[in-house]
Amino acid sequence: MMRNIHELFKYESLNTPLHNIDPRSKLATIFIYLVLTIILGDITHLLIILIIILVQLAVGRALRKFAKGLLTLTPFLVLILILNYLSLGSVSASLVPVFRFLLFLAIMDLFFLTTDPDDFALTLESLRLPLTVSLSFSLALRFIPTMAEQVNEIVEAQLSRGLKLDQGNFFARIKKYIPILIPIIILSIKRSIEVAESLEIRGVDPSIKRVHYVALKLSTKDIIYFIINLAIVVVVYLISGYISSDSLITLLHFSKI
Amino acid sequence: MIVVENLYFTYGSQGDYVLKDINLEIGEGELLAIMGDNGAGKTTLVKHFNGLLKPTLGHVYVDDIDTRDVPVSELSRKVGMIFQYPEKMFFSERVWDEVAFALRNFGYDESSISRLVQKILNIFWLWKYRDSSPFILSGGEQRRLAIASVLVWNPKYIVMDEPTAGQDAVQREILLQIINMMVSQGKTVILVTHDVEFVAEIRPRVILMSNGEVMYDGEATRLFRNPDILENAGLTQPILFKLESRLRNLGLIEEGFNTIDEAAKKIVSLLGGKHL
Repeated sequence: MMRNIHELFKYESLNTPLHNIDPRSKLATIFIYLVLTIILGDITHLLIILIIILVQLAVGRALRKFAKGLLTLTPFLVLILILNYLSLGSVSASLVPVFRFLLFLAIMDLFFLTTDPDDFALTLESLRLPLTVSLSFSLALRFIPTMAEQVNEIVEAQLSRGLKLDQGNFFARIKKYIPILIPIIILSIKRSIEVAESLEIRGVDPSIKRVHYVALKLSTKDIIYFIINLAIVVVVYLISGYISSDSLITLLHFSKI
Repeated sequence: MIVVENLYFTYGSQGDYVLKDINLEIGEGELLAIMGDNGAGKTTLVKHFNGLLKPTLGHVYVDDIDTRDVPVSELSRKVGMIFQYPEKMFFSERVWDEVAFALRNFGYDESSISRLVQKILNIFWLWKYRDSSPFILSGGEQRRLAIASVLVWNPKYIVMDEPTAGQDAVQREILLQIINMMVSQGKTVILVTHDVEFVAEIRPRVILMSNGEVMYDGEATRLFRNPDILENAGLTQPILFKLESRLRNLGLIEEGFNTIDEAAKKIVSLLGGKHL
């Protein structure tokens, strides 16, 4: 599983309408969706948003990857459901955090699966973030696959030295991760020094103002994309004040009569 | 004996096979080098020997045990795997604990552990560092420690993935001694490498791989006299055999030579003198 988990977040260069939207427009869009997801507390509304996001993922040909990611995270979703059910005692109320989590995942995928990491770095810079911040962020993204590979290597090496990760009680198991965590931390620190050195060698200097060979350009379609999504968000927010799943149930009840 | 039967392997559920129809028998006490360029499938193959990877199709047997039937922790007692850059895996505060780690996992009692650790640290000239951190050792010492921490449980089969990677000439010499020691103790040693010079020094049986298939299985010497097969697998002749080919092409020699000493004698005699 560890070998494949990073694949789920990996950007694939495709030519879809969503891939061609300016990352800044996409970033603003996912931001308003994220806010809405936090505000809404009703499954029906969350479901509406989820469907809208899924349609967009389908347009960006990222639906399959999202589904695979979901499959990997199913145990986690079940855990959220169980824990919430234990504290809330109602299935429908416990489904809300599950849906929220699903939505977070879908919204994040909408951005990261359709945005080139390089463009993402440019976006951060265009938001006037200092180079050190934007570079750190994009490098962190860039090194997820490398790190996943390294985790895999270390796990294999320690298994070959007789480490049994799946035996013992909860605390014993946590302790067994020490031989994996320590090498990863050490390797990450070493790598960060190497990366810093190679950046310096190639003339990266945060104190100097940089110009870009490739510049992001906001076109009409990018603005339209954002406005449509903003409209959707506003409409869903407004109807959320009138229609809840309770009122839907009442409506269904009446329609039977 | 390790027996590989019609082994096919793919990492994904679909996708191309990384290993295609591999058939091998590795006898006890044998010294073997698995060679090939990057991506040939060498490491993927050896990871089947201790069960880290299970065949997609076919079987791998270690002493008649199907590797599918037992966990890695059990197979590892028989097959010790020394990974590429094994020093990346250190995590203990003391050299001693790094070596004792596997023994503790395998359930040895404390008195056996202290006896075995002491013995192996002495063999590998690391006893004086027993209380030091593994991270302060030099590159060569770290590599020796990594090897010691696998040999300590005395596995019957030892797999070394790119043992010469990142090692200087002196460390290569030491590595050569360690390999000879293991072979003289009757261990089966399997080297995964693309270091032709190193293989030319030990002349083991060579399995040459390319694109997940076995291209050649036989004597190292015969392989090194065949630059075409080597080139197809992304390797070049060792310097000794390059020299031999050149001299042969110039019509200066008919018979080949097997060692540097033989080559030196031949060249001296070609130059018509003994004192050069």
